[in-house]
Amino acid sequence: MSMTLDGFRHRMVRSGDVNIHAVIGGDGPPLVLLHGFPQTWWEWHKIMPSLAVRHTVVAIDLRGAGHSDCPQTGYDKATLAGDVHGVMEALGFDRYAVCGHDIGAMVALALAFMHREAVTHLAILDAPMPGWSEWEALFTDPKVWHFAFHMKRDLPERLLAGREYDYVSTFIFDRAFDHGAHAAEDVELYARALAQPGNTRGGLEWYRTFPTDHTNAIGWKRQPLTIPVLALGGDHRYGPRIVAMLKEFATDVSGGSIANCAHWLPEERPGEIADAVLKFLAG
Amino acid sequence: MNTEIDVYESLRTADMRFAYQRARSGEIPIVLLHGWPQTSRAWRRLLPLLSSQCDVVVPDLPGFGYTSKPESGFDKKTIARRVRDLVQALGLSRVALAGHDLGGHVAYAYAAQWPEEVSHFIFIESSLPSFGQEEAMDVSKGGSWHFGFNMAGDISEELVRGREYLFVDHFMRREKVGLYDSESVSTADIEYYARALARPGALRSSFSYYRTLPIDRVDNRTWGQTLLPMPTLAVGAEWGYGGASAQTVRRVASDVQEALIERSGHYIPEERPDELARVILDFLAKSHSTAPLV
Repeated sequence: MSMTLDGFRHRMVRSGDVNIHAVIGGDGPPLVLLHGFPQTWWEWHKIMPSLAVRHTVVAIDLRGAGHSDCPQTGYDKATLAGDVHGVMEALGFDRYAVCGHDIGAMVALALAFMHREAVTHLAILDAPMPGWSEWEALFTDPKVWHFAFHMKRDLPERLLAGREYDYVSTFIFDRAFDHGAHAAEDVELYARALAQPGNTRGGLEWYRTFPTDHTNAIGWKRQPLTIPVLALGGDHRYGPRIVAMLKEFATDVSGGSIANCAHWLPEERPGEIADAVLKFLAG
Repeated sequence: MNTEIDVYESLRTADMRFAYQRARSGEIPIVLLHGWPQTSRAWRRLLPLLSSQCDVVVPDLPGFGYTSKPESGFDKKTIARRVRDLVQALGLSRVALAGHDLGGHVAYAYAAQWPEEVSHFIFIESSLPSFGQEEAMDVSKGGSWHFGFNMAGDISEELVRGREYLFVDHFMRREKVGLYDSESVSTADIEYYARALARPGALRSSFSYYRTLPIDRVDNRTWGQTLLPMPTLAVGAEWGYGGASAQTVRRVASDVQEALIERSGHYIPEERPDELARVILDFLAKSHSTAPLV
């Protein structure tokens, strides 16, 4: 997987006991980007150049994905958030903004709560949050049948092995409104990333920690965040519910639905998302 | 095993070719409906135990085993109609019906639509949409992941294709409700089910039993407004669903007895055939005189 972006450099950054793959470029106040399942840092590639005009952009592969380590444990969102904070500290950033999508959005929320002193702005893109009042009701929604499948131990790894492309392509296109948003090579790239030793397990572990994440988040939300929060979702996915959802966790929430879009905001509507994030961070 | 009956007969109905086994030394007609992801083979140990007193009919359900794999009609209302076609084609008008697992859903749909044609209803380790099955599929309340997976669409077939043994073995030996005695079902038995599931159309059909649960939910809600009149027996496994089958069936039937089979997982017909045959024969004998005459 030799995917590179002009003006960005790749680094392996030690954070605690794991090595995290970071892609860094641009100038200005730092912004860290956190991808979701079944993806890697590459999901941001369309908007990273625009964001880098005004920010130092750090896109990482989460523990368990891409070129980052896949240890046996530590996939709850609090630990993943600790990985991210360690990377930012190692890169010399004490204060930074965070933008997360899908699982990465859950990590971003955990990061904002655990390092209130460090996180200046929080942007959440299309994901339900553990700790949300609707979280448990979600598990009977056929739209997220994969939650239960991914949470099942051991068996999904066996069923997915060798069929990563089938799974990733179905996963992406079932949850896309704009079926032109992903090039065949993008899907192939995510599938190959998932097929790397340990990565299928790593990605699934993000789901197996949901009960812990839910308990943690219920505790965190007792003291809501006061930093600015941007909550965006596709109008065909979580857009209609996402602002109300984040208002359970934070006092200063803006955002709403992105039209003609489902789950893959940075790839389906890159121009709008880049503009919205830049405007939010400038405010 | 020489007590097992392996001859399958075939019979054509309006829209199906049915494969079934029949053993008739006794009088009481009884139809046994297997569960998922199995075939009529699941009853192999029960057949000889019931046949001295019963006329036992054991079909492969539509989409399973050697029976046709139709393109559509996997809602239990339609499946029950197809099973009734077989029963009538065999010259039977009124039968006792026993269903295990999803076979219990079909048996209920049959008994609810044609109550006067069902002398006894036996519900083994099963649940019903609208009457408790929703909790079994809610993983936030300890339910199982496989409902959502099986219902997801073509991706389910794609992931299991070529891995049928892994899949069946997983279910039959799963930690939560799987076999109590892991050796009560052999590798050869699981291979048999896996091969049946590997035939073209078999995975699609098998998952379609799940994809139609939303339709069943609506049908059951309608039927459930009238309690089943016939004598009903709910059989649970100590290491399976326990008392849940009885709790479900008490919501849809008026005359319910219960039995709990000890030291058995979900697959009672294979794990504890002697105990199961005994509770079924006792139930048929006790309830015989009180059953309304046709």
